[in-house]
Amino acid sequence: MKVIFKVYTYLKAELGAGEICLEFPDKEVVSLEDVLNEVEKLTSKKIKDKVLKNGKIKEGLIFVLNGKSVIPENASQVLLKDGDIISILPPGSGG
Amino acid sequence: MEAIFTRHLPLIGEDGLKKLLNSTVLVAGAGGLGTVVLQILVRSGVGIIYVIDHGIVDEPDLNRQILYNRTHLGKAKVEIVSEELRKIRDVEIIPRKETIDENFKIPDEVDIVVDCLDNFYGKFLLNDLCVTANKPFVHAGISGFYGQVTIVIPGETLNLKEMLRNVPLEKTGGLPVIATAPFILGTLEANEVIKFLTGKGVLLKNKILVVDLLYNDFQTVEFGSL
Repeated sequence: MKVIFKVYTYLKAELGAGEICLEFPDKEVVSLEDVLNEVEKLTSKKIKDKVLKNGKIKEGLIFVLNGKSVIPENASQVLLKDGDIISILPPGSGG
Repeated sequence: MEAIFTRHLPLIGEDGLKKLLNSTVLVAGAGGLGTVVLQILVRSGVGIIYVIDHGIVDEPDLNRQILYNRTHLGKAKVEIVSEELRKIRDVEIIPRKETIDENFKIPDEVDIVVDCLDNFYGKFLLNDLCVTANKPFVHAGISGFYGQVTIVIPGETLNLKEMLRNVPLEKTGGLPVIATAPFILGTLEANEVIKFLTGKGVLLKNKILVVDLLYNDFQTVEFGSL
């Protein structure tokens, strides 16, 4: 299975890439943590601890899975399947 | 017709200009985003503009709040905005020096509301008020060198809090910001208002346009429809 992982603004700068196609050859579903582990493996950049804390999405970050904003408390239960797109963005609050 | 409109009249036509001249827009916040949005809407031909802001002009505002200068320090922003915008053309500006809270009533004649507030508490509250009043709402937020913009149309799109879950609901602003961020994001907000009022182009319905000015990146994040 394949999953598209996207990040924006400062997360993109830290990761050095805005979009990564992740492959999980022997799986039918993966967790968000699996996705982040794979991103760390491919990029050699620490990202998991910057976006998750105790299985919950860190405040100030928006996870969008296939067009739906993920409920922060549900992050550890989210499962991704082949073709899913997960995006992480940090919206600005200023005016 | 006023000569100020001659350069964009061919783009929107007599009908489009008439729509702008007959429109009423409420701009919430007269800071970095708001002063850019207001200038563009006035120059484009919007007929009546409500401006809501409780603040006074402070020196740190001058790096980005384009309608103000040193002679305005200490004065109410809504009063300066009214004076400065009327130097551009004869336009009806309705300044209201107040804070938007749960009791704020969006005037019935308002066609669209523009969120130029500086915190998510206010942005979400204003969006809720717009949903209750069935008014379209253009949102932008900025931080550092980046920002985002979208439009919320009750009954047609997701609300702001359905798209932006998990943001801190603080009531105060003051984040570091580069001058280019409100200029560009404010311009995109005004562009969304002009498209909505004239019926031109494609709106950012269920899409957030994310702008990263450090890396020259403009990308939309798509959300599912209702």
